[in-house]
Amino acid sequence: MPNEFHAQLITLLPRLRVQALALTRNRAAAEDLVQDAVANALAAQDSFTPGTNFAAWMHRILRNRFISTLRKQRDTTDIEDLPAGAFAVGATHEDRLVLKELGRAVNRLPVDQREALFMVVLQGLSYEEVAGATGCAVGTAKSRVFRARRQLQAWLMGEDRPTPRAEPSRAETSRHRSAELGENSGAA
Amino acid sequence: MDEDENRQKQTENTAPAAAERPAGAESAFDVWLHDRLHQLYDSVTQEPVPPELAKLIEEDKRRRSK
Repeated sequence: MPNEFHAQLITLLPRLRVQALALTRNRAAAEDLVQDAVANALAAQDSFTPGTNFAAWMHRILRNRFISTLRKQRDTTDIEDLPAGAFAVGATHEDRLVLKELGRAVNRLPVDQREALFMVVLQGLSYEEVAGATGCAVGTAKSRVFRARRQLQAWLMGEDRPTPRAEPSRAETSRHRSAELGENSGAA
Repeated sequence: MDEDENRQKQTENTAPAAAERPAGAESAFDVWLHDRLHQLYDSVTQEPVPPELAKLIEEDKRRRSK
């Protein structure tokens, strides 16, 4: 069993990295979050029931770790922190501008929508898997992805203008993000 | 709800939501978004496992298999 556990963990790492990036919006913070979540999972592996959904269990650990870190620490907002690799090859100046704008828009999404969108689009998870990983109903997972897509469309196509809001304070931002994420405590 | 609807709903929920690009007339933006998100973030998923993380997992595996 231990070998299988570790093999599953290694296989899942790219997905965990994407989830961490969706949550933190910051590559360095995402790396730290994955490392912390892996350490938690290794310590709690005896509580994992073989044959149950390992990915959902692991995604919940990472999520819970993010929530608890968020409570203790700063808000890791870095809207310019986009993967450099995306701009390196074959992109025209115009492409780069569009990608940058998309990256900024993605980072403006509510964290639960961004997380669900990344899981579906980048990781190819089903809505059921997203629901299992984030502790919400399948309909909620669908709705989050739908709203994320429509919001990005609206921002990028200039189809509507979101209600301007005063920039929230750091403490408020943390509170909002914790509230958006909910408090599912299904894993370590 | 009849059986067909049930089956369709089940498929909608469990099918890889966007492993393939979205299809349909109204989803031109969704197709564009799918491709651009991959362009932006695929490098993240393809990065090698950081050595310290690999070490952490390997050490735990060794300790437990003793």
